[in-house]
Amino acid sequence: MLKHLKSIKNFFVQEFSSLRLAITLFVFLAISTLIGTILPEEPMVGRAKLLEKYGEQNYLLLKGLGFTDVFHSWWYLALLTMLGANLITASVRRVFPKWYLAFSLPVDLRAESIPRLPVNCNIEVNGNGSALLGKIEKKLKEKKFKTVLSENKLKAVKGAWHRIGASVTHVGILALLFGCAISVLTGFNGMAQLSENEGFYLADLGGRTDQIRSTEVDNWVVPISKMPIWFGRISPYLVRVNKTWREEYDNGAPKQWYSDLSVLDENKTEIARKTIFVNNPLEFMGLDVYQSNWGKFAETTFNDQKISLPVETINGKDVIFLPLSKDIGLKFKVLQDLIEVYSMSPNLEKEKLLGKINKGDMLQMGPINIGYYGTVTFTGLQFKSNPGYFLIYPGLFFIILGVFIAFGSKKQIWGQLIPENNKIIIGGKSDRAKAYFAREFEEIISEVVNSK
Amino acid sequence: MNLFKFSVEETLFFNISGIAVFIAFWLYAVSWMNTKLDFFRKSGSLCLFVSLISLTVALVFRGMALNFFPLTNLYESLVIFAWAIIAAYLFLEYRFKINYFGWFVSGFLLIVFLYATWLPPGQKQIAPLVPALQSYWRVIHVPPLLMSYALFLIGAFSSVAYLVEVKRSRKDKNKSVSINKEITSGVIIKTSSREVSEKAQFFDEVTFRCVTFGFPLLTIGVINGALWANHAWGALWQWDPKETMALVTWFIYAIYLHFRLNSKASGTVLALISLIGLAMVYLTYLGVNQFNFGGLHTYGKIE
Ligand code: HEM
Repeated sequence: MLKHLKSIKNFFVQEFSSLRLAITLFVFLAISTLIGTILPEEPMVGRAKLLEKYGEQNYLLLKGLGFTDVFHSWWYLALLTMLGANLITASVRRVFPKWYLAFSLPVDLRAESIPRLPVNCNIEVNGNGSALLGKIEKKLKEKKFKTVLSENKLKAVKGAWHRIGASVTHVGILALLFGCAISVLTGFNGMAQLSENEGFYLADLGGRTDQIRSTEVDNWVVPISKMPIWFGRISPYLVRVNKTWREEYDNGAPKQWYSDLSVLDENKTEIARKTIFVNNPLEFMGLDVYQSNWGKFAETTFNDQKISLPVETINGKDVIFLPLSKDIGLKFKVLQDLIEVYSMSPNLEKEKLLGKINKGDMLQMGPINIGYYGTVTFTGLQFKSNPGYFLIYPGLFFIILGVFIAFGSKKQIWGQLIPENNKIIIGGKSDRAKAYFAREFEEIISEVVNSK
Repeated sequence: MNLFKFSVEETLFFNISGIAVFIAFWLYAVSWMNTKLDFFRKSGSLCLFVSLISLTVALVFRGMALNFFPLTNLYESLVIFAWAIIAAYLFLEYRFKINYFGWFVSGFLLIVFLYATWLPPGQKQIAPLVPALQSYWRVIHVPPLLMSYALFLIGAFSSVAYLVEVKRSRKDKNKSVSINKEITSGVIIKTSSREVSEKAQFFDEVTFRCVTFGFPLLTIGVINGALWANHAWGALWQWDPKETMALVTWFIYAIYLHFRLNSKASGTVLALISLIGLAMVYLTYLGVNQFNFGGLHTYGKIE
């Protein structure tokens, strides 16, 4: 029974440390990632679009199989987990043990083995054989090989340290996978739209996804999103927008968006403050806040119904377009304290001024009653907590470092003087670039032989 | 929007570069038909070098007009891709004597040049940058990727050459070859290889070289992209089609590298993996937008 278990365990260790499994997993991952790229994904395009594309029945079928969200499907996760398991076993059993190879000299080879090396040659010696071997050693040293010469046997190696590249990369990938797992299981993220003097505190609102906007600190709430299985903790910070503004190019296109933020603790005392902009977030004690977009809105009413309309800036002027049908519409010019209402239609050369609305006033236009209450600016903030970072960043660094280290080849050369036949046999091999090594070998031998 | 015009200098140097590639194409073609005409090949390389220099100058002028590294739209991306192909080819030719491919490479370059020129004006104009693109990350995210694409492209040319070579010498069944080369009287260097010919071994190795140069660059590019996204959008990885497509490409070349560790791996399979890899590169670079996979990386979209 015990023996049985042991053989099962051996089988798993064997399988999971094999390069074959790694390649198989890569193939499956490549194919499923490709499928996920080509098929529209629910988190990207939304459910309605998929229903329209596939129809109710097919949608449910595809959803059941995970094809509507490949990257969060159980089988994609399983592939990644297998890759992780494969990587751990293979690294421990096959990759890390090769470390010593990086710092050791080549093993001894018997004379018969040298002619079997991928590149080799015989050199007739007419003179002092040992001196010639010494000369070869000197040449190899010149070419930055590490050499030992003893009892007419020469061994040389170069670039062995490249062997640790694979280990470094593999450690990096492991760190990355663990870091991502930690982040996914304990991190959270979300977004908030705020105007000046508003703010948010983080809350786990279950299924609710709408933010409550208010200038009253006690009413600030913004929901977070997190994974279904989650062990995290939500930090008790409050974030307040002190000021938000934008910079423009001469033509009115947005150049940069800024938000001046304060982080408050539970007692509403400020513990950090920073002006953020796109590509320059606030990073504070495990909570990062990003500027993601920005908008100006006009607060209006239509027949007493409150509507916020997005203001666009065109050629430096603030305008709102309100299409009413395919070719007719209204255009509002937003000025300091009033808006001007124009009608638009393709038949009209010029827009026609219909009326002006002062801030706080209303305008009756036929059946419609339009009110204007000034503009507000919203800053779109994204935030997240990402506890796996202490592993993710080093992981990424090690992956890059490792692929660079693994870049070169390990080259080994063995030579031996055979005094009976008065000849030197010498040969070598390289673990990666083979044809290039053959040329290098040829060059070294030619240089030595021709200089004699 | 008021947009800057192409400067006269930029247009001039861009055209010089294109013409030099055109001349290089014919010079390489002639030397390809008759390998004794080495002079033609060398002149071809010289033309490519001239092309590289004038393309660099054109890019500098554009960068000056833009006040930034010129990598903001598909046109500029294609021009830098062309730059990367020439630079990669000249480097490989100098370092590893890959003379066979000059003809293919300059032919392909012509296509890139024509495609860039054909792009609608909206894709070529120098436009102010939207906030998300204003970052030094852009400069360290995209160029390594374009360089890796260029290397994978040349690697794929070599794979095609390998497959042709293997097919041609199928007749002699003997799988591996050994070559004896006498360097001076009495000193014979014996090289053995499991490939069908010395040429096949060479092509195989050129592909391998391109992948070993390209893979770290691809890795850096993808990781820098993630770091940038983290800065700009607040998430390292969003499973956006461009990202996932790059991941597919990365997996394919990881397959290539791991498969090669097996000393009995078939060269034909390796060559095929490299070709699949190139197809993935195409989908990553242009296909994501051309075939409308959607997503956030839409700067290269043709409206
Ligand atoms: C599931 C996982 C994996 C397994 C079982 C695995 C296994 C191995 C093994 C056994 C080696 C040879 C080490 C040596 O000879 O010193 C190796 C090399 C290497 N691995 Fe992995 N690996 C895995 C995943 C990855 C991934 C995802 C990458 C992505 C970058 C990677 C990159 C490398 C590199 C660059 C080398 C050196 C290749 C060369 O020398 O040509 N590995 N791998």
